Amino acid sequence: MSRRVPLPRRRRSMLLVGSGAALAIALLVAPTVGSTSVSLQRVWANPLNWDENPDAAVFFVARLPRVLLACIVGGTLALAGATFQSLLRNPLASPYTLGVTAGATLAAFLAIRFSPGTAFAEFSVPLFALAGALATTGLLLLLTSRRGDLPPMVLLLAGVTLNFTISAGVLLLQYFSDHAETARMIRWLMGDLDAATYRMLLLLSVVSLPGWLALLRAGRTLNLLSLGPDEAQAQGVNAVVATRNGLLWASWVTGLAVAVAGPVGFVGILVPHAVRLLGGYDYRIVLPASMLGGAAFLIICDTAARLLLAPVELPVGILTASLGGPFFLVLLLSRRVQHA
Amino acid sequence: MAEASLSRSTADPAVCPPDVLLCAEGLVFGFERPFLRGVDLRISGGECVALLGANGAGKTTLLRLLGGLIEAHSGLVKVDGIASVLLSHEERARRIGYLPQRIPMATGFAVYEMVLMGMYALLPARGWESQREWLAVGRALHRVGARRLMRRSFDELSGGEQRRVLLARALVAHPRLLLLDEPLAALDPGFVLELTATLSALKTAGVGLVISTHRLSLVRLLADQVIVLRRGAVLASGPPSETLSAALLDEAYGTDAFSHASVK
Repeated sequence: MSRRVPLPRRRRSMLLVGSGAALAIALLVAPTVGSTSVSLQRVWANPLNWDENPDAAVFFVARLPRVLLACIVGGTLALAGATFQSLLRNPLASPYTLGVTAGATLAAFLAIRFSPGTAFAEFSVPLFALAGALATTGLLLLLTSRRGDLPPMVLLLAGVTLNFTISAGVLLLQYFSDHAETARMIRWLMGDLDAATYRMLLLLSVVSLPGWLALLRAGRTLNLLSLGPDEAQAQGVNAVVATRNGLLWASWVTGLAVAVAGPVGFVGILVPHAVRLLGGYDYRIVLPASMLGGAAFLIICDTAARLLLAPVELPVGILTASLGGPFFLVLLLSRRVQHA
Repeated sequence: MAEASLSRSTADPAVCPPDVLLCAEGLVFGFERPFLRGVDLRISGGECVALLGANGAGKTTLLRLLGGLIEAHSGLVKVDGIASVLLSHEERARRIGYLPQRIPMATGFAVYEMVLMGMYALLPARGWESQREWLAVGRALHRVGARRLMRRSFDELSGGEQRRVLLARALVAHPRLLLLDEPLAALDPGFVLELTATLSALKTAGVGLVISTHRLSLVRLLADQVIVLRRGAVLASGPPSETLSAALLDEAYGTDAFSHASVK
């Protein structure tokens, strides 16, 4: 018997240690590379005296906030993606499937198109985007609340329909915008991590924290929900309440991340699947490992976006898809061969 | 008849004494064209109730009502003398093991992970399994002859193997009541005999069994009471000696084959 026990424990700890190590390395290395190279040794020699230590200034002022934002956004999107894939019982679900991002986008575009006074302009887009994301989730819950149950298929169809409907509004708004506004809108859609300040990072972390904790604790429940509401209910899960809670918290953290960084694509689908291919399907492992891996992945992508065509910085959204896609395909196809 | 059913008020404690494991009264499900109407059932520890009836007669709906997966539109289910609707899902799951008729898509879970899920209601919310739960998984799989499948992916198993694993999941937490929806479907004849022995042992150990099945041999061996359903209503209810007559079975399954077979 004891011979059979270690497998899941070993697999769990290996995956968590591996993704944690990847994140630690990414966090340390990413702020040192760029147009000017920074030495960690020199940074730590005199870390707070930025006037005399340019390395520390570049490290702490220019690069670290952006790396930390990539860490938070990447981790959040991967965590939310894994959650939605379980709740909707659909491997193709992402944090954006149910229209959270469409709502954020519509509201952000409204802010860009009818930009309020200059004093408010800096925060108007993120605040509008957050409001849009929350309004969409609220609408979805309201629409589905009249049913006594909450089957994944109904939720999925309602969410996707909402997504399309809101997207029509987004197109309409774009159609009636001038060139400068349209350019800003398209730039927003590609995702941007440049706006990071320590104050915003702190705010984002504090407000996201309850959502992260709620989702990370939900592993066993999500395991059962991924088999279907009936299966979950028979084992003691209140399927409707658990689905609603998961949906709410995942949308909350997604809305926050998107409000600050824009809809960075692909992280929420790719990272959870990579984690599953490497370490199995237990959501108690998938959720934390996705969060760590997503954070590392977005830091790497953003660093590549800064370096590849320097001094031009690419939008990070382009990199997540073009770096992540091939990597994932290799993983997927090599695994298939092993099983066959 | 009307007087008798009226006098059996749901508030009457004598109808569902606490020593009765599971008790159902006047269950109705579905409004305009009810799938199920007026079903009564009572089961104590060590008893076996068999549900018979043609496809679509309401056996699965009845089991889902008893297991708290759906709520009756009228009528009452009591578990251990407590109204089922007042129990939390966890409390109910601790008392009842449920074997679904439909095999779920496990989307990659290993067999041991599926069986571990049967202990959801026993473990603290975020808990990881300890050695104790692992041993229980091994024992439950051994009991259904599926120990060697432990590490396999559930989705890759054959239909019969999957049913064995789901049965292990229903058994793993040692519930006092088992609701089994066609436990013998897709099982090979050798395992049908083994499983019959297992169910018989569980019964002797004081577990209550409600089994929906098409296998009359199993009913004759195990059942203390048979409920024959026809289009959502109770056609007959009583011990097997009274309910397994050819005429009654002909009526239940809409055929005359049973009478013909018995004449020969």
